[in-house]
Amino acid sequence: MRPRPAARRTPAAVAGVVAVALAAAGAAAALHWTGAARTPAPAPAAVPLDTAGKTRGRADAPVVIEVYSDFLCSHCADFAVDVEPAIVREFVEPGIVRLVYRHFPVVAPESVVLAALAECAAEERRFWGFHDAVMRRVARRALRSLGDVDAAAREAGLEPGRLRACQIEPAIRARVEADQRAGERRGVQGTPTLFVNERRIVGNVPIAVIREAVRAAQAR
Amino acid sequence: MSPSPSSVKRSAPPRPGSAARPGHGGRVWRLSTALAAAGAGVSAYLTVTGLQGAPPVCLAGDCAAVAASPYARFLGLPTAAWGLGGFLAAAALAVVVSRGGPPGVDGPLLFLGLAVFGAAFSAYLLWVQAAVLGAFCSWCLASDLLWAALVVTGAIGLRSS
Repeated sequence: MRPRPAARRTPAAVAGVVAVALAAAGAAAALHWTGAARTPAPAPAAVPLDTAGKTRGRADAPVVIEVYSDFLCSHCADFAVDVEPAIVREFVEPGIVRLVYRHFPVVAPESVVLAALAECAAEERRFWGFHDAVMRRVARRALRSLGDVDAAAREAGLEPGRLRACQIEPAIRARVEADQRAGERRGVQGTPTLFVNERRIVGNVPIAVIREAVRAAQAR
Repeated sequence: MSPSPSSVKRSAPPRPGSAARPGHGGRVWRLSTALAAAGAGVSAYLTVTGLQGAPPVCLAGDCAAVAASPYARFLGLPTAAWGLGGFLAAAALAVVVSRGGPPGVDGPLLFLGLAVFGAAFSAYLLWVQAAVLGAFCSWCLASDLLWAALVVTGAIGLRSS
């Protein structure tokens, strides 16, 4: 069946419909444009991380939060479990903050081993998975043996044997020491210590303190 | 010799807006339906990947950059979801027009208006890719081309009706 003829169709009617369509498209485009301008760009999954893979967030984020931490420090674990997810949700994902982990192993000799294991995890782009798995165990006092560390590694998708072989490499240990020396130069004395841009915050502070510091850093 | 009834029928001037080339209109609406269905397929894929938050598999260009941009969402939905709605509406309208409908409405003109709307909005999105993002998504370009093609078939269908 062929299309039913239109009873009356003038060139003016055609021009009018085309004009209305163009105007509607222009209005939709303006709405889309202003809506996009209000929407912060989500951090793309492929945001380039630093070479050690110990950062979260956009490389060009206006605020940088550096966390000097020790995997065996219970306050660090509480901060990692309770506060860091809020930082990631509120500031990292919207592209406002780049979160950087820095080693400051001071609690026990095993702290250095865990830091080195984390460096090895970073080499396999699994630092944060390993970090989160270890910190969760420490926070609930469930990291008591090497077997627990292996379980955390496996949870992060890492092969424990390869990780242990990696952690004794001098280059890995040198990275851990470099972080610690840099922290000492900046006046870090305990963990966790945060730098929100250059403002130092000591301790497992609540998210409200971080919010205030981030806002202040943005305002500067 | 007086003209036969059949020759009178052939030589009668067409009413305003009636088909000038018999048979041509049917083909152009079938083509429009196919083009709109293809556009719906492209948009559906982009909608699904947008809802999943996954970058689309890119045939060419940088789909991940486009998909991760704030322009990939519109009024709370993936922008492609709106395109999907537009293509589905165009496909449905083309089917209805090819069957002589819709009653009381100038279907071909409505189709052309919808196609012009889609093509103009696509042109804006193309500009965003070129001038703002500096990245192109091959799926988006395919959608843009399909809307442009629907304008052409819509114009031909309008002339044929």
